[in-house]
Amino acid sequence: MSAIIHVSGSRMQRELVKMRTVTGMRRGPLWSALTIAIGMLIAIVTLDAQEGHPLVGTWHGTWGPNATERHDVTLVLEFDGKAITGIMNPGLDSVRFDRITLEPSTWSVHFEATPKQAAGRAAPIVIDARIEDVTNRRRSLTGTWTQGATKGDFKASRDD
Amino acid sequence: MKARRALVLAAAIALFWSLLPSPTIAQDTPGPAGRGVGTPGPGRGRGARGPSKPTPRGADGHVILGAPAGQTGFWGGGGSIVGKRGSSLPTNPEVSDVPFQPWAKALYETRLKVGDKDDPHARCLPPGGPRQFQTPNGFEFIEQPERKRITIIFGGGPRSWRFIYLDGRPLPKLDDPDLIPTYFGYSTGRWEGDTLVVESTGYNEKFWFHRGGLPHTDALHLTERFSRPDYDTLKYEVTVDDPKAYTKPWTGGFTVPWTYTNWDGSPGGEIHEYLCQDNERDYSRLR
Repeated sequence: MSAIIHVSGSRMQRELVKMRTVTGMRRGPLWSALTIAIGMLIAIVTLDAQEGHPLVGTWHGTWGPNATERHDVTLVLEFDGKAITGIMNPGLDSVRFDRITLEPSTWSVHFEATPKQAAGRAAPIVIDARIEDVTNRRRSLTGTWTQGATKGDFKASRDD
Repeated sequence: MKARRALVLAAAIALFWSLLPSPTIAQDTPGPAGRGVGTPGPGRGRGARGPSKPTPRGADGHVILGAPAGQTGFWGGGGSIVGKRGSSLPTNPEVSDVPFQPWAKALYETRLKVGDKDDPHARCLPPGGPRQFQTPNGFEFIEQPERKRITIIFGGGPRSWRFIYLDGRPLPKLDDPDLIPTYFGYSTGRWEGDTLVVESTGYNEKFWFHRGGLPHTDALHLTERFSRPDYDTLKYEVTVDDPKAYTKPWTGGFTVPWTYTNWDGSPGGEIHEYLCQDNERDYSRLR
């Protein structure tokens, strides 16, 4: 288990795609269950206290246009020394971010993603947030979420 | 009259406080062992007390980094790898010269501003890297030639230890999917003349590798150089290579004094039992 714990989210994603290619599995209940389970595993296994780059790790939160209409969101973010990369909602319908930028002087973060849907491309997602309590292992991201004409607030916490 | 009484009372309290044994609640507060540092012991002395004894050597001539056979003692706490104050090396970079990546610089400055409340070591997590030698209550080298390794035991923090292998094994590769990153990393060492050169990698990101919170990432690679220019002095120098946090490798270090006494100042030079967890009183107030 300890070896699994340190498998990164992106590697898990690659393995998932490879497995799907090799097995020829198509979308179905079994495939969905498998991807959801692996997605949950990714979210769980990366819950390490992380004192390095403040964005790296798994973030859980919600976004929505108001207090009652909320959508769960999970971000898995990485940093290779030059660029910040990541995915949103790991699993079958995960979305890889097109661009993530951090302004350290204000701890402002800008995310851009283009979700894909069966019928074509959905409206791009833009998140503008700020890292709150950046030195804390349970820091959070708060800001705005824009997807087409829909606008809402966004909040996510980094678990340890 | 009242003012004079208050002054006397304040002076009395200050004097009383200064005579109390050092507190053991905070992990970075110099602990009792620090009181023995520099205390004259057998053969000890500098300046007016006389020069230090020469560097101890084994039968084969190699430098002994611990206590020679039949003797006791250990190393006290060290200084900083940035700045030139105290026991820090005169060749150290100032903080402004450290080649931070922008995020690392901003994070370090924020940590300095916020203080140590978010320091993992305040929650008794082990300190890897140079931090392990900055922790109060000392450390000791134990040579184990039959196992081709040197063990370093630490008297402070959560009472941990670290292995330095001298059997020529390679360092783990950071892209190895089976690598389990650790607090102290994986260390291999070799002697270059009288200097023990230790390469380490495979660190996790759960700790601050330097007091104050110099940031690091899982790409951290440290090259440490241990030498003992005389009996009473350990020279520690470390090259920090972490391309995710710094734009280029950089080097700093400090000296560490030999300790002849026990924590209470009595002769002996033995690391006493100290457990961070036993003395930690802040966790319930930290979120």
